[in-house]
Amino acid sequence: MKILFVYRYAILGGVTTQLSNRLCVLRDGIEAHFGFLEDHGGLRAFGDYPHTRLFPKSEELKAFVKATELDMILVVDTPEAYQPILDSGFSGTIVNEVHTTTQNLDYLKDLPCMWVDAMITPSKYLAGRIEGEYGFKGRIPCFVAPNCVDTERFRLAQPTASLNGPVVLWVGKLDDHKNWRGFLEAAAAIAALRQDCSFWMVGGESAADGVALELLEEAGRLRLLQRLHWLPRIEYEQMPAVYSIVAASGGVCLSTSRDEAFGMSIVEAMACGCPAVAAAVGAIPEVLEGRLSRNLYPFGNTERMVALSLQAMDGSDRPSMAALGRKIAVSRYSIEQAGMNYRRLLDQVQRLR
Amino acid sequence: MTRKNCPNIRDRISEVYEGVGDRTTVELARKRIHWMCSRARGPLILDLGCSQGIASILLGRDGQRVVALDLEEAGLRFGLDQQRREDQANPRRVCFIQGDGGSLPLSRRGFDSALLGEVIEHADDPQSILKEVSRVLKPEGRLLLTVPFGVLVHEDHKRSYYLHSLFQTLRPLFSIENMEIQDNRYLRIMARNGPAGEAEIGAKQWRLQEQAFEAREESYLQDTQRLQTKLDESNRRYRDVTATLSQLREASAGDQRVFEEVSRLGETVAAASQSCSEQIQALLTAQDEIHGALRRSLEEGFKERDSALARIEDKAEALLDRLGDGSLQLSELKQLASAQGTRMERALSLLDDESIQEIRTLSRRRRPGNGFDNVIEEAIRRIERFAVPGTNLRAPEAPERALLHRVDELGCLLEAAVRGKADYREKYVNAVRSFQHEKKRSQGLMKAQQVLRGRIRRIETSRTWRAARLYWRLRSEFLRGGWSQKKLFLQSCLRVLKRKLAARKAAAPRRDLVKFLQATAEQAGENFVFMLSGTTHIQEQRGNRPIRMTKTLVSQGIPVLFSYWRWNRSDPIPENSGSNLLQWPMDLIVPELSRIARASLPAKRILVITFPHLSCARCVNLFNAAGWLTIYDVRDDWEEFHKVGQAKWYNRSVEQYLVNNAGRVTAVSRPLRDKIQGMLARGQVELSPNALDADFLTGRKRECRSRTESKVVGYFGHLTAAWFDWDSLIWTARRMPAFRFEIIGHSMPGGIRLPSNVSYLGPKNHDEVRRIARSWKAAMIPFKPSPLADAVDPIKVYEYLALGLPVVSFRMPQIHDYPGVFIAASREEFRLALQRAAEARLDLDEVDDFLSRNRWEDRVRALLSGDHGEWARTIRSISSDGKP
Repeated sequence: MKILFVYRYAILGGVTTQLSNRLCVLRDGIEAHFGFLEDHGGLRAFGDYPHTRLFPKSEELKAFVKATELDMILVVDTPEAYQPILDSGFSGTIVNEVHTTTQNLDYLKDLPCMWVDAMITPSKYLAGRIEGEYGFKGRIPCFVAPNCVDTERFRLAQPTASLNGPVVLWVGKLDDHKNWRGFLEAAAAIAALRQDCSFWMVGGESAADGVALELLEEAGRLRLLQRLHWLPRIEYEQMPAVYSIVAASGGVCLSTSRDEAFGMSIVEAMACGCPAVAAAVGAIPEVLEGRLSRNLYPFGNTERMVALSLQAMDGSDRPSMAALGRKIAVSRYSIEQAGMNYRRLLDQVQRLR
Repeated sequence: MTRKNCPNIRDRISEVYEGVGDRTTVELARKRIHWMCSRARGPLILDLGCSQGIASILLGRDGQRVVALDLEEAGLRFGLDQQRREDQANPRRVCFIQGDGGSLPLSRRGFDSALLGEVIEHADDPQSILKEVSRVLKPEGRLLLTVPFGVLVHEDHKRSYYLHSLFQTLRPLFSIENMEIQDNRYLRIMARNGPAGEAEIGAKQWRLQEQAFEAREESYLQDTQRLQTKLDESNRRYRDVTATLSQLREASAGDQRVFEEVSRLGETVAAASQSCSEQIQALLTAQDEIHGALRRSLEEGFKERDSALARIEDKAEALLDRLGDGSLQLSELKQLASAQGTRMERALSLLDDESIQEIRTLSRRRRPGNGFDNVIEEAIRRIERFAVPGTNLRAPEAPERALLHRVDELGCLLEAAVRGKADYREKYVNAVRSFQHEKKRSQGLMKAQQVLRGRIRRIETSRTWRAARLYWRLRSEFLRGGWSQKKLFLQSCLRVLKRKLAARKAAAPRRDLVKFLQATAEQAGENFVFMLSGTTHIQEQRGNRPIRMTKTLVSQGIPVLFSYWRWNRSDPIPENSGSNLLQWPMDLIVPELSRIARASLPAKRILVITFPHLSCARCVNLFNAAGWLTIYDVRDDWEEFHKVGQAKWYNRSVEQYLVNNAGRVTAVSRPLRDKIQGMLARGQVELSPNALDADFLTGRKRECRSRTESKVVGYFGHLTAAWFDWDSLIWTARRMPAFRFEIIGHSMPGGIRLPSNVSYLGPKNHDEVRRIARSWKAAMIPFKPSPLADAVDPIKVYEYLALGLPVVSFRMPQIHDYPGVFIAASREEFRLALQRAAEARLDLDEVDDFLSRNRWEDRVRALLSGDHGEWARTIRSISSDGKP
């Protein structure tokens, strides 16, 4: 079977990493091609894999689809790819894969059902939204294929540097959706109770100066400047080391998002043996379930969030919770497991026609 | 009991329940356990074969009392730990006991419910366990039992169960209330304690079993296909390897050792392949066995199903007979009703309005049993009065005819109305069609309009269009007015053109940056310094700290990327002399910070931040994480600058953040160090005062020899009124008419009337300063006493001393103990100190010693060799080259 994945940006991390992770399980019996409209350094995630290409112009995508006898095309949150694909006269299976939850999801409102044979999302929550909110229920089958994480790379590594106290880690862009203000609020409450904690915020390189200044002023107002470390950009390959430092310090990964399509940073933290505390929103309860669901708090309930964070740091069951998180990450989201599930799903989708 | 013969097999049901394992297994386990718990009746429940005790713990949470029993100690210990963590306040809800299910250490008839989840398939003698369970259950007590449905390969499974076999096993002791197949994987049974009567397995259960078999068979077929594909692939690989081996053998024909090695390898591969084939064969055999078992079970099931169906068919026939009788009666009833209806319709069509009204009134009065039938009869009687001639009915009377005529008229009107409605409907449909047509047309038009707009936008933004527009504008402007206006117009055009060219030139150096970084990477140097200065570009008359340090670094062969501040983006970028220095404006460098941080550069990369701007705070951890050494060099009290109207961008939060995130923090004076130390959570702020240029030292003796006896006091440096105390200087000068005061520097405020003995000489370079200072007796620093001055370590003090001049200054704590320095607390003291200084002779050895310890070379050495704080060490450890 010949398939093509089309995604807008090749960036290290995010969807591009998902695609490169899948490559490991798609090599066998499938000729997988990966096409991007722009490269921002993400192509190197595919190493020397030969079927990776850029389509800076829609004509090039159209010509490629026309020239290659593809069985299936998977368009990942890239609606602008449809026109050239349809213009090429492609008659195979088209799958629309959805990973975003932000306002970018609105492209689905204009996506005609007749173009697409199936939808794939990383969570039941997102599938529910697509079927309900965007009215695809009963019109296009919507499948769930959880994201995968390279559990060989994302594992607890003994950090070379030592820390004096636990680290509370937050990962995300500095926007309302990720709710960085909520994190600062929680950090202030934790700081009042634990004098030795430090707070790391990873992400937000593209934030406007106004937002960056607001972040620092807010941190100043909450008396957090002596304990706050903002890392606007960390390369994806450095993230396992960051999670490992947090885990080894006895810290916790805290998510304050209002919504999540999957909760990748939580899974990555779990894989590195770092306990994660998050709001019970979006797809997060699908990731933090079973015993791990103890670490879920109702969104907006800062007291509960703080209590859970302290419990995750100081509780006697921290080692068992961390081990459980790692086990779940490996057994459910490893490349082998989640990748094979994805592979089976592709076969299932192909049989739809 | 459970896993009796395999003590090493550990059941991890609690962990699976918590989510360990693939999602399907987890969901199935949860569903099974939730089913048992939801149906268990309390208050006392036996969980036999409890394993890690998750079901017992869940029941305990619901307030039930549970005896959890298993043979395996490890599982019980795990359950006990879980239970202790579960609820400290109520730890005794679940009692874990080690014991054998075949002889329960429990009294009879004590339990309301018993759970047997995944137990009996492990037992050699399930009857003995069931007997024991029946013994300890109360009469009518509830048994909740689950077993895997059919074959489930497991080394401790003693037998497989299908519907019939399980039914037969339970029947002697329990009366089955409900029997289901869960997800084609489990059989779950709810039964009552006490033997069953003549109960049978229902048709629904058989159908479910058949569906389950089909699903399983399909999955096995898929497995077979997959295995076959794998086998083919293995064979293909084996063939490839064999072929390669043959080639190798041929190639290594002359070398016996290699040949033997290759042969050994070949044998290993053959053995591995053989073992693989055997394993696959074994799998296929196992699969055949499973198929056989399935088929046998199916046959058994079909027999049962056929007999059940035969019984059901008999019953169905009897029912059909009864149904036939019923339908005959029903059709008769229908005929009767239809005849009655016809009569009623006829009657009603002849009724006048009055009668209808009357019937309505009567019907409203209707109550059960009040004779509605009589009303109908009366109506029928009335109808009979309107019989038509020729029929058995009578002709209507005249008023009644009139009424009938009215009814006809009304009928006509009604018909006309119906026709009108149909016309209207047609018109409406036509209108809707035409509206939709127009809508489509307008949508098409809108699309066309959008396309057109896009084209227009493209044309308007094209260079050709813009050039053409500019040409026409210029042409019309040029043609307007006389020659003098034309000349003016051309001049302004040229100015604009020049400005544009300058801006373009300013954008060009990105290439220079890339080239500079590449050239630096190719050099074999050890160090690279990136100076975020916030000052102007390097120029002779502005010798501030970042510039001095950069010059010293460059003179030592260390490449420096020097970022400076420019107030106008069209300001030209200075020519960069030499290969070790690149000067670049801050506004162009900010978008490139990420690229610079990750550039391939010498091993030791140092970022020196000399002003607490937001851009610097934003990038400090970008560089830390990329393995750079970052230094925040506090050269001024920026907060105080901000207060006097300078450094408008200053924000205290930003500086505090920077202080706590830079790898090292240095400050030029003790008061400044103490202030910054207050902002820092961990670590020490280092003192790194200003220093002296080597140029000044070399020229000092010559200047001392050439000094005359004239009484001249001098100053060079910044002249802003924000800190230069002009009032005190004028006051002092007026009281010291015998002295002459020479002032050199930039930023001289306007509107100051100087006394005749004070001369402003303008800005001068170092050589000129040295030449002018030959005639000076002393130098002064008349800065206003303020927190700003408290934080300063003026570079000029080192230069004054190098020129052999005693120095008089208002309060400035950092320099109080410097040699040859006189400090004044008031104007009068300042005047007296100047007089004393003019007459004093410096202890040149002491000054030399002081200056030899305070040169920029020393500062640069400290810069390159210092240690970094905890945070920087930690975050640098995540970069590949940040490891110690």
